[in-house]
Amino acid sequence: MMFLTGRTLIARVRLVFFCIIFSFLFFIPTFASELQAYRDKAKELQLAKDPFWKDLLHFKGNSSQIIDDRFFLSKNGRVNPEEELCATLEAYFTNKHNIKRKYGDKDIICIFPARYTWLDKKLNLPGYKIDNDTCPRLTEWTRINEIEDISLVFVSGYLGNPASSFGHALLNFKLRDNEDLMGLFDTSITYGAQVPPNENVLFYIFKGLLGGYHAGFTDKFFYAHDQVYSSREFRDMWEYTLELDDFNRKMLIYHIAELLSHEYRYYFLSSNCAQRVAVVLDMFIEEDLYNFNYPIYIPEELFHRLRDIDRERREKGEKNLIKKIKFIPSAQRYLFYEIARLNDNERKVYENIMKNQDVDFSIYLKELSSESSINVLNVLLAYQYYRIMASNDDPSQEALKRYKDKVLLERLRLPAKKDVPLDIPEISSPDKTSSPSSINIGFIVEDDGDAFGTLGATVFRKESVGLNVLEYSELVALDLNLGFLNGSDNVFLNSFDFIKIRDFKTLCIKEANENPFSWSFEAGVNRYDINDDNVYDYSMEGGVGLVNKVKGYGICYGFLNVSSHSIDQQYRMGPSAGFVIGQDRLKLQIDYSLDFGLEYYGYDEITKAKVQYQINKNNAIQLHFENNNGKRSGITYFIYW
Amino acid sequence: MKKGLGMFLFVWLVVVTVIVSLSASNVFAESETKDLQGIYEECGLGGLLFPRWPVGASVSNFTWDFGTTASTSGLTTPDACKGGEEKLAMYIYQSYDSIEKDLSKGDGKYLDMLASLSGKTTEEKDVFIKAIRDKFQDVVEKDDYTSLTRLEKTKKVFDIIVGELS
Repeated sequence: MMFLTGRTLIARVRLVFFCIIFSFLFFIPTFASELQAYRDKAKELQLAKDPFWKDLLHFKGNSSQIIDDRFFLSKNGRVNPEEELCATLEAYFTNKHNIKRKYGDKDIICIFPARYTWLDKKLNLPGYKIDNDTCPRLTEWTRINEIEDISLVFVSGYLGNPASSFGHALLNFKLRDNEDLMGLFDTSITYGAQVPPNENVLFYIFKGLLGGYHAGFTDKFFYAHDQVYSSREFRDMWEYTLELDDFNRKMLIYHIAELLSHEYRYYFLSSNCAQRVAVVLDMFIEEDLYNFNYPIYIPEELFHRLRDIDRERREKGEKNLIKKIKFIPSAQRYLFYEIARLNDNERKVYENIMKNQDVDFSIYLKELSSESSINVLNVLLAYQYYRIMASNDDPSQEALKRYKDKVLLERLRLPAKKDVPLDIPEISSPDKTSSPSSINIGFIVEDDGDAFGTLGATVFRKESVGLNVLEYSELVALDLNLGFLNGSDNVFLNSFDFIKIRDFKTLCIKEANENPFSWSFEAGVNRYDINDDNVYDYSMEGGVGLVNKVKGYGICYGFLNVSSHSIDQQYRMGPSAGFVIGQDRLKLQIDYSLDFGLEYYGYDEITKAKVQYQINKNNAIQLHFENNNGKRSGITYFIYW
Repeated sequence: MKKGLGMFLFVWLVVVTVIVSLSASNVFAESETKDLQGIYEECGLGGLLFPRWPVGASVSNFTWDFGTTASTSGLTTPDACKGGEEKLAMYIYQSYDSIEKDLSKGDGKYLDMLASLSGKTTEEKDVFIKAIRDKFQDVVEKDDYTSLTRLEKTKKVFDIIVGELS
């Protein structure tokens, strides 16, 4: 072995040093001139003004809607797309950038893969390559070669949380051959606000409405969402699998990868979960899926728009946009039909066990065959999970868990048995129901002979008599109705409903003696007397009640209500009863209630009736009648949009 | 001179390769021996161990774990947290109730996914599920099962699977 002398070593070091300096001197001008050439080319092609470049930066008007600097390579990138384009090219050629990441790929091409894929398409970037060698973490996350489709999931409204009342939208990257597993390991993207723990409800509402929260995209595997929406909140879901070509599918995935962990400002009504998903998806669908002119955006609108585009494409003989729609029933719906499947003997035993939970249930099971015992225990166990989820960590949970574990053990002692798929009737997907917003025109006659025209607009209208996914429940928000007096140009406020909710519990698991109560709440303004424009009743009303679903006909219900009013008497209480009958196209609703004053004796008798005929999903006629300190009847034409 | 420089570079390359290999195998060894607690702590998922909100609480529209568990599927999580075991541990923890329910029946999509994550083929699945179901029964037979925390229960199932795979 040969050892180096001191002088030789110094000479070698000098040589290496010289080589390094030479390399720098040689390559820097090369990089600089190459970079300049690409900048010139980008300028020539006016890429900075290209709408897609601005979309990639999430520009709305003159600035980006992304509010954190980590998304921009240039100091002025948030307001200057041209500077950001120059900085993006510079970072590519020098691989020097200001984006700090603790974990994951560090190369700039891996941090902004959609930007560089698009720039490569336009400029043919030298050495552009995104694969497992250049971006191992990104490649692993995107699973580009395993992702077969993109889907959008509509999660039905959850009346238990105001922010979720209007539904939710998820974006899924669907793995190939994952259908049998319900896509549990599909990558699922959601957009939401960062709300501090234990946030005050009032702050929550005001900050949510006025942009007080930051928000962003997050990724999870779909099973995490399935656990929350289906198993805990009992919300049905519809998954729309979309037809996107390979390039757009890849670009969408890359773009989401570069958006993760970046922050926007959250506005509940306009810049919400569905709006952000729509903005991103719009970039990769030729037609306009979304434009920024929507002052209020409701998740369902996205799915109606998808259907419209799909229909337009079919009419033109082009490739569909919607590949398929899959209904994913909630755990509650699943349980409901699992119980319904029990035969008479099994049901009897199941009911006995539920009624006598203090008694050892194995006594009842002795009456059954092993096969039937398995069926009963499966349902019993499914119900225990349902109750534990529904109990929301209240103190009774410990007892529930103990009971559940007894059932679990009993079931484990019996042999395994393959599940027979349940036949659960599908609920119409949201795109097949009326659009959420509406305008209306109508005519009302009052018992004193006065008649007037009406004109109204509603931001969110899902009435019990309408065509919607809420079945018979009702959710109406921001419903303004103006009156026009006949023979004069007097315009007045006829009514304004800030919010009107009726949560009819039609899927109540009766066999299990669970809490069957439905509830209602409404707040708004109603004109009290047409002859005196100043008399308006500002009211708030809440109620609890019971509902019974009559299969194939509709529902009937009874409520006990309390209310406060701005006119005499201010505080009232009383019962109400009613029914809704009919199916999708034609429904009739009648309500009868008594309002007893709580300040002195007196009561009002109120009758309301309405029948709605659905001409098609977005046009309907409604006849309505009301007897409340005078009779009013009328006809209204609704256009949903 | 040329031969000397070549030898120097060769030795340097060998040394660097050995160091990198040792570091890599250290990382691998650490990952192999990491227990469930370690996975949750190391992977920055403290929110799962000490949840500020009930596990599985609503994340719809509004969310609250943004940042702490920003990327459960691993775009920017630490290197040590992207392996199969970590993915399996997360899955069991977050879907525990569904897995438990499927285990009781011996069938279900959550159980199928568990077999798939454990690297079992369709042909091997039934035998694998039967084996873990039997061992799970032993766990539930013990009096203290109800008093176990979600994490402790997860650990039991995780250990059964790791034992079955080894």
